[in-house]
Amino acid sequence: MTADDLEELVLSIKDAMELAKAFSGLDDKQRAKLSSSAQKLHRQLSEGKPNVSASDRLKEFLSCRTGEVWSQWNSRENRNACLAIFAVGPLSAVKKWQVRVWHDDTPALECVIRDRRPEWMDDWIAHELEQQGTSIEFPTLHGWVQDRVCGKPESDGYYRLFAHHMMRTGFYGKKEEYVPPLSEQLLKASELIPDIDGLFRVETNAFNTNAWLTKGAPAHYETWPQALVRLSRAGHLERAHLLRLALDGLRLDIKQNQLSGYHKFYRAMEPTAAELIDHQPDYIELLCHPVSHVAKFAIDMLAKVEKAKALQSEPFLREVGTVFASEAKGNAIAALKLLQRIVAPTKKAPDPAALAVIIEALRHTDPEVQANAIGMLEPHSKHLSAEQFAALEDMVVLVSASNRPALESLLPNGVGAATSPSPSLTASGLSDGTVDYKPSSFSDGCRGVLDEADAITPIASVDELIDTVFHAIEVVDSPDELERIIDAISRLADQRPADFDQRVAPLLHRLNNGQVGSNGLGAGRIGLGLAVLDLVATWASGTLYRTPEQFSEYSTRQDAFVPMAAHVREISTRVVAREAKPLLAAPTHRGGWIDPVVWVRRIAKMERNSSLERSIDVRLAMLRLAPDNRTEALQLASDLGGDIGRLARFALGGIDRPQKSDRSNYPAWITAARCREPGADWSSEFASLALDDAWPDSLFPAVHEWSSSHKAGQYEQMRWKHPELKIRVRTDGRVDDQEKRGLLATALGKLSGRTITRWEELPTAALCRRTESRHYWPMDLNTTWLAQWLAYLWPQKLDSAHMKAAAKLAQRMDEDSSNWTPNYGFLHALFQRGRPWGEPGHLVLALSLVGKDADVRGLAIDALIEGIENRIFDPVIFAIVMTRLCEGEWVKYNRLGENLLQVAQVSPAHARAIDAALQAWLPDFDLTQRNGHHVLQVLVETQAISGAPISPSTRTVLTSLTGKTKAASLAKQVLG
Amino acid sequence: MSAAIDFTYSYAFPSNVQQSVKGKPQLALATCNADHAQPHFFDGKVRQPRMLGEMLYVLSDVVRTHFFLPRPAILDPVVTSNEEMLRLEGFSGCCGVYARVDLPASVFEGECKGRGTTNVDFNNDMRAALLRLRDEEDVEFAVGADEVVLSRDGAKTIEKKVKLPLRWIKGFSEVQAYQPRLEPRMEVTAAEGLRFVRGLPKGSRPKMPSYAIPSGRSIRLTQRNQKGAVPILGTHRVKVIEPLLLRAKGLRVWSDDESGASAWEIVYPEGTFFLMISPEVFRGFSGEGQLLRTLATPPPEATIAKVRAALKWQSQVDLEHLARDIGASGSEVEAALGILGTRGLAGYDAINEHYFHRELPFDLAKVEEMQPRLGNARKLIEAGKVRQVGGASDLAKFEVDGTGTVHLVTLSEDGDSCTCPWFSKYLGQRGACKHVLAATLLMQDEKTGSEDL
Repeated sequence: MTADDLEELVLSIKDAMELAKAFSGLDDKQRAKLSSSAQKLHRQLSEGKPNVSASDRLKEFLSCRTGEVWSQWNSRENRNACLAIFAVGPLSAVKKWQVRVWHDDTPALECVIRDRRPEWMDDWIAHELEQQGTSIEFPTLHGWVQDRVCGKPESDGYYRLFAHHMMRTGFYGKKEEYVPPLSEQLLKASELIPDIDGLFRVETNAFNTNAWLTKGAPAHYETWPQALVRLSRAGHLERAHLLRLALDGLRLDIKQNQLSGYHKFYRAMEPTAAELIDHQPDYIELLCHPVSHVAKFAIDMLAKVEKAKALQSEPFLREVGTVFASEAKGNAIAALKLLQRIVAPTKKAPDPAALAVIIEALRHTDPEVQANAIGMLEPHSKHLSAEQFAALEDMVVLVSASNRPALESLLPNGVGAATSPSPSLTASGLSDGTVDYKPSSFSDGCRGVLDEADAITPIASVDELIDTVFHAIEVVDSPDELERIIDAISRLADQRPADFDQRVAPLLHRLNNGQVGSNGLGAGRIGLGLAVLDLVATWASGTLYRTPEQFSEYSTRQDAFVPMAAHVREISTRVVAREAKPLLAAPTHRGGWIDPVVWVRRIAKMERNSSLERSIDVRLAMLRLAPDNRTEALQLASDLGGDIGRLARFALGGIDRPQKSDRSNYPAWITAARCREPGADWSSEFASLALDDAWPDSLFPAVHEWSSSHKAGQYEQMRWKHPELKIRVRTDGRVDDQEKRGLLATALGKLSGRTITRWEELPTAALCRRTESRHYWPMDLNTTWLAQWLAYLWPQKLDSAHMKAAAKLAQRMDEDSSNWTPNYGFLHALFQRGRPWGEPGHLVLALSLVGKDADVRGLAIDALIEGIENRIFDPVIFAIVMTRLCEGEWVKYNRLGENLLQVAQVSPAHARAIDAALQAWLPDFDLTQRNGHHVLQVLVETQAISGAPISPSTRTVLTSLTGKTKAASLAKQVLG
Repeated sequence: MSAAIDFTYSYAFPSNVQQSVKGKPQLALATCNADHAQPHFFDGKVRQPRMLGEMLYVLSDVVRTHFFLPRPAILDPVVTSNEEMLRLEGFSGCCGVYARVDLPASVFEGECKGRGTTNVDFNNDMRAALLRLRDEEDVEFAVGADEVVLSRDGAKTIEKKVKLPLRWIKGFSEVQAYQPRLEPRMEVTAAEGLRFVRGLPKGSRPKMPSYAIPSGRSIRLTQRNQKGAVPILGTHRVKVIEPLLLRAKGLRVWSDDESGASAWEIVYPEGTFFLMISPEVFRGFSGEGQLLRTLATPPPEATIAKVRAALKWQSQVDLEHLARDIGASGSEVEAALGILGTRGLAGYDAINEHYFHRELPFDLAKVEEMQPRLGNARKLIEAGKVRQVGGASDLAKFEVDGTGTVHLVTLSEDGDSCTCPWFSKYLGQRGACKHVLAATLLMQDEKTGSEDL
């Protein structure tokens, strides 16, 4: 065969077997001669490009090929080329990933291999079996081994292939194939029986317990463990050897699922009493195993040995202590039960080593384990040595607060009492928790929020502005920085030093090429984020940037930001014209707050601006006015003239009122009303303006309604509940929601001469828009600093911001933290100084505490700790919120319990506050439901730390719990 | 350049707890250094076997873990021996966690057989056995073995072929650069430390930075940065120390505000376990950022060579004494030790604020080639892309050609700056960017040139 013949064969033959047979009879020398040609041909076919020296035939063939190069990878000719390499090529060629034999060509490959018997066969197989996936099938490989085409591989991959092939169900892939039971397969191919040992050494699927492995299996199907048990019982496999293999396998550092399979197999073999006793040293050694279910297996087996009265207590007591170092509660409880049998009250004094181990159990993290250990020590306290008492003293600081009194009572002469530490107190003037926790009343809404530590220093120069913008392009540290930038760009718009263009050139380069940080200014590509980006580009370039927005069904802007975005775009227009202007809406303090006195002074300087009162700037500013200093500001505002003076005084609580002539400037006056009294009904006050308005938080205050439910899902055996939070924002019901008005109502309104209000002009109404997230995906809120910025729009009243947060949090209840949709930014609003949380804030808190997102959860714990210190947290509201959330039947109480416990452990005062919330909640909480006891566990601890009295209603609930359930046992503990 | 070097650990026997000739349990650690010699460092008894077992167990947890990818690592720790101290150092597969066990002579009864640094075999069987050491027992301890013992036992050589990532070797070397900057922030009892570590998130972990802050007598975790807070990214990395706090005396927490690295020192009556975590989970220790200035403007090579020659496996290098001996200034010696540290030739003990001599038993020549940022800075100069455009002596301005734009670099006594994305994002917290380095080097070269004139 010549190179030309080879090429002809590869390009023309349509039958792989025919190609394979064409190579038969060639000797090594002939094959070697063809090797280089075969490799070149394969490369040209793979790349779709003929070499310069390629034949006309090949060039023509390649030129006639249609479609992309990659689509030809499994064409007949390419596959022929691969087969040809196996027929004549060296090891280095067959090892390349591009040289793969198509599954259908396996018979042809077998023919080629058997004919050639290449000397590199063992090396190639070893290489193949090391890969993630191989095209070699086990029957093929087995056949080669049997026929001495290759040696028997010893690599891990061989055993994986072996295991996988034998345990096939016939469901995946070859559905028509009849697969005999595994035991039958092994009996038919008994030369494979020695390979069974490898399954206990290597990570394979043989002992895995995943359901998908047996999916679609026929009735006669056997798993590996089932087959081995059967063969062992029938005497085909040595029982002792199998048990030994399983135990040795448990010592390996392999995946947990397989370890689980090993000890399940061991149990399925039903070891006899003699075997159990014989294996006792192995069980004892496995007590130290880092995988908890292996340690559990060891404990269970030792329990059986103990029942047979054959437990070697000395080595057992030596090793069992390590069980208490791991977190697994079940193992610790089981170990203590076993220890209990050893130290059960007898006439003899208990083994001191056993007592020492029980003392070790006090190190365990779970209070129930600690309580059990203390209970076991009590009857033997007179047998404790001085050394053991000393050890107990050391344990006092480790045990939970609820167990401390019992432990201290074991110590001689109340020694522990002096050493028993209480959880630390925090600052902020909290008491030691002996006084009832009472949240602050916000009835007058006038808690001060301004603090000198929070004062914002405006950007002073263009140099500073340039540096700040450069940083913000890469990462936005907080919305406060953005506010400073927007303010500075507006104020310094007329300043352009000689080297300005040169200095900002790299910035513009990055902006224009999209090379911006993932959490920088460029992250916001829609709505407000885009407006800010355009503003920065406008400022840097001197030309107006208006990047078109691309909305879609799945990507839209957040309506709450529409007025702010309009404000930023307005600034852009002025910046292009180099018109410098200070902003009324620039915050003076972190969190978006403006000192009213400063605001009035700003207005005084800008009073000559005739349309000031109509600007979006003044509207946004009014919503940011702090409750502090309003009286002083009102006095200052008495000197302001014109409509802006009236507006300012009205907003600050003065006697000025809106008049009929203010109708055309209704947005400013409605906003001023909301500034004056955020939650009031202003409809009567504005009646003379003849406005057609029913937007929530416009003339009428918004009412936020929500309910908790779930959507059940099921797939085969798996069932789940997808949490749902339905939210509706409406006005107080006296009027129809403006959104829902039809054309007729709108037309009638116009005909009557009333002015129809537009939500885009009203920042407070914009905040209430589309709070429910169903069928609405505002992409802006996927950016952390935009989610945080939500709380800056109307810091006086955060309800809308909280409800939007709640809607987003509820969507990802059972999901981990996400870089794509980070939710932790929403909790920023909970840290606004001096603002009541109300029900919406407590709803955000509750959702965060029961969610899986660790970033959100961590911040929620911080918020709750600070909320208690600042007396913003209201136990009663929290209880109401939890009751309603639980109606959805999806709340994970273990998460809630863990988080509340962390807060309770901060100080007695924190424990007191959590205790109050739980006692308010318990009468409406079904403690008999699954995992409800996690809530009671927290109550046990808060009671121990704070010593708060149990209310009658709580007592009634706890007394009603009977039986041997965890909840009942904890209830007893609380009641004493 | 290959990203890893092939290395074969060749041990005379597998490390394990075995029966000694006297019939007592013996923890025997097998050794092997870069040229496959198997040094014998120690023979004797350990006074607190349980403490040692637990510390080595946690050390093995660190070296066999890749903290952000599910990938096993089989990179053994190293041990450095002299008469005063036995130190074992390990580095995680992800290059983000460094652990060191410091065992002063008082922990042992026995004889130091040799000084030096070598790899030590950590394997699965040994790990399981470590947890079974008990204080009540008389446990012998050996690091290496003499030839007589080896030939008597007819031990089978254990070979482990690994690919040592260059990044791992480099990180292991350069982690020392972080340690002199660590400051102690908090100190609590072991019980409070245990409460804190047990409270760290278990299943679902935060992606954003968490912080450890003092809370009365304790420490608590918060998601909000505040003064004195110690940042933790990857709380699961700190959780590895939990088993040690069951029996330790206390926990001391260290941090470096500039880099964000933190260290967790578990204090025992004798001995310590020191765990240091990198600023971010997926980011290793690249001391380059911290030492770039020093590397860019190093002390004279002669000084570095003299300091190198003076290192004789001291467990604490006395800076002043050494400076006097070689006739150099303290700062030059310190800079030289810093550079030697990045080359894997010295370690730093933040607890005692001293360098110690140890030489990582790998081919370190390749590591010296790996200074990409500095190398890139030099390339910029060689390509003529750096120009000084003005400024006074205390404020120098440069233009540096970037990709599609020209970056402006300012070098000043108040701080350097650059308009590139790296500098804009990190504001110098991760060391100088290549543009600032290039400007610094150019200025240095010009200064040297004018001095020569």
